[in-house]
Amino acid sequence: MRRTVDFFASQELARRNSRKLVVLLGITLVCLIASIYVLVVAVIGFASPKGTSVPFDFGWINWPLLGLVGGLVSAVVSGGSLLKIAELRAGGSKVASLLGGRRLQPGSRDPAEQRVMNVVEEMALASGIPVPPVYVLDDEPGINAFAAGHSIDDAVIGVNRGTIDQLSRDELQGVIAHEYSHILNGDMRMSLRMIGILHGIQVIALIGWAIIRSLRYSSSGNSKEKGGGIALILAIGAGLLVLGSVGLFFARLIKASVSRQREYLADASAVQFTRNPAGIGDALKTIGLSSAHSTVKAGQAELISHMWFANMSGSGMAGLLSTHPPLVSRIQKVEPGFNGDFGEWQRERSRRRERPQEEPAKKPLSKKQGFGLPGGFGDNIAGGLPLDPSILIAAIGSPTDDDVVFSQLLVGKVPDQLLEAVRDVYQGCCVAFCFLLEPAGSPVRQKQLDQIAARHGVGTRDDTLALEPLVKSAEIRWRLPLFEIVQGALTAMSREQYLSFRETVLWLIEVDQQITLFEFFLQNHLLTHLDRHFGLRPNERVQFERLEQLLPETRLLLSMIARYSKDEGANAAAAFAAGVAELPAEVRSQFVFETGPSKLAALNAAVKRLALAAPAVRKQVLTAAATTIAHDRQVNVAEAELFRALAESLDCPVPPVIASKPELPVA
Amino acid sequence: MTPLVIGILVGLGLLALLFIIGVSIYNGLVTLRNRYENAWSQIDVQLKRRHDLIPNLVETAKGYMKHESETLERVIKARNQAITAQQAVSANPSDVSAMKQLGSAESQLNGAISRLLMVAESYPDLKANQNMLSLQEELTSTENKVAFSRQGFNDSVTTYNTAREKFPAVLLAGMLGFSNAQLLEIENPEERNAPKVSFS
Repeated sequence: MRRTVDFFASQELARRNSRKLVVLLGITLVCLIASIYVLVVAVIGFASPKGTSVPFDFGWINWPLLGLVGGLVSAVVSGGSLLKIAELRAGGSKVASLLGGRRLQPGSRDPAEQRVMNVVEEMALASGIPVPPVYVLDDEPGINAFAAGHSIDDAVIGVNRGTIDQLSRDELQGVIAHEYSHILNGDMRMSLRMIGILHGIQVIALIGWAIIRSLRYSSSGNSKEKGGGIALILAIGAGLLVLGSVGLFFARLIKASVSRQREYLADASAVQFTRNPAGIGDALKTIGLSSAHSTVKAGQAELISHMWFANMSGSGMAGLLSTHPPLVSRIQKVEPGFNGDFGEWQRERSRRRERPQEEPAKKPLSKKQGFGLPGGFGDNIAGGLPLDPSILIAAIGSPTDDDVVFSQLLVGKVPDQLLEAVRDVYQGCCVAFCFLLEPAGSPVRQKQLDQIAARHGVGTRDDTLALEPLVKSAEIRWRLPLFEIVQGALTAMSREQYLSFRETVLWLIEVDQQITLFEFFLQNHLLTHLDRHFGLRPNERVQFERLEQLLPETRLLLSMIARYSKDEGANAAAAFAAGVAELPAEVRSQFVFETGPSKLAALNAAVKRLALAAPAVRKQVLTAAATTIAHDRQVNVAEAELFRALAESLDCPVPPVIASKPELPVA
Repeated sequence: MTPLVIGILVGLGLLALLFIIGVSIYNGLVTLRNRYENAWSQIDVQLKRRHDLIPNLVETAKGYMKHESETLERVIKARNQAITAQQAVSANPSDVSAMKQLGSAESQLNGAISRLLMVAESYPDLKANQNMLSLQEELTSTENKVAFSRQGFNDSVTTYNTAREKFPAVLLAGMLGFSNAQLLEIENPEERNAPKVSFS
């Protein structure tokens, strides 16, 4: 399947769009200030009794007054924006809670709920990201869905009740894949900023409205001499309402135009993720048919109108203010043969519905039949698959249906008991501890177990020990996916529980001595992900625009990878040199292979800084890393998983491109 | 510029500020209330699971404990009461008295189960029964999960209650219909069967 999206280009585009948007909205704000100034001047002009000196000269701008108006309007708008942004700081789960979403729990008895959780989980594993929490809006019969959050780590998926009740599994998959595209393409961060600014402008209109309302109530016992003042205030109220609304109109216009482009992109990505244009196409057609269309009623939903799967104000609306392209043209982009006749689709759909709908946990797989994941891990088979490292880079943030099928298979192969454990929040903690436990016989192990018992009780220690054999028997190609499920499950902790869990994890890492580089990246990412989810880490912005700012970090990373993934010595030096050859010529001279004691603490800091680089810089670093890992042009699963774990730490999710090749040796 | 104009403009600015703060408080409380309601559904799943295990447990024990029908009946009765209480809370997790009721119903159920397990000690055949062993095992692990999710729930209730009582939210909370929420407190008579899960 051709990949429609270049992850890094898309991230850059989202950043550029985001900046453009802020500038445009800034212009809107300036216009708003100017028109409110004119309003104030006009009101004062009318209100001034004849004969007294008019306090301004209409031919010239009254700067103090303009300053006052400008200051007040900016203060109100930015106050409104900042408060809204602060409100949403904790990200996706907050947006979902504000809309009244109910978080779906694993082990739900409603098959429709279970199905949507399965679809979300498969798609997360296929994309190589932690499984996001799923919220359902129970009071919404319209067919719609949204993705919200700042980053991959605090993303949530929300679906309307209508979506899970009315769509078939394939259609649902199309909708969810569309939302994943928003998550992977960095559309959400832009969204949150937009929400903030729109809210600020909206406040102006709301104040106008509030003034008019309050006057209507207080106007009853009104004497004549107060009439003039009342009229003055009324004029200001009406003016603010009109101007605020006009400002909001333009702001929405801007929002809508950016949003519409991203929707086409997300639809195209959904087709790539599922290789099934019919899935998303049929979902869109079903919206066209449904009596509730894609309507969302929740009071706060308008704020995120551009984040929904389809237009939240119904289906037919087109035009400049619409946040989504018209349904028919979206359908035609994915299914060029569609003639706009929803009636035909209705007949076909009811024909299909006559056949019973079952939940296919695993799709029939012709080409991958007989695919078996060998039991146990650590089989030392030399060699790997010839691989051009650029395949790894191209796959970032861009899963295909192969990856989805692999994830479905993988979930099917995991023993039920383990699957249940990684999806559960409490047992998920135990699984995370298992990953950190030293193997039996290590002197540190007993200390680690005592620490778990002391901090969380004997029961937790026993449950951890009970799960350990299962967790440790997981083959290496399962490990990252299982970890991604655990990361999702752990977001269900309360903040207090997370703080306590976090302390234990840090303690266990501290004493852990025999850590592999792969495990190192897993641990690193576990806490990064959860810190962001629980709002412990401020929303990081890009700090490094050029590779030159991160040379020591890149050097350390490449050296460590070369040494860990290859044998020490000449081989490692050659791998390091191969990676460096991918970097721009000007900086290569600065790269000397680092030997000596391993510096995991330094690497930890380096990875943190590298994650703050601009997408283009991260692409350079990852290309070099992939080349180091695959320098003999041979890649096995362990190496590929190491790369995936590294890339995930740099917020560049890689689908399981290599792990899904059954013919590959494991280690 | 007349003082009147400045007064009006500044007044409007203050009004705007108050309005924004009010909306923000309201939204914050809505979010926190939804959070603890979500945390409730987490316990809900685990409690259901636990209640489903009990009939099996009683059925297995019945074959061996011919003369303990009173103990067994007490367990079934406590379970049924707990289920009724659970449904009442599910209908409205903000209902203080329903939550208290659930706490005491679950405490009674704990007591009844631990009495059953204590009596079972004196039936060696029952103790060795494979089914009984795996049920007991599952009961323990479910109890750990209940304890963990209950703690998470109580954390989010506390967060909500604290936010609600803070100034200036406390001025608005009552008016906007945000009432104090109740913690779920379950007594566990037997420490042995229910290891402490103190994630705090």
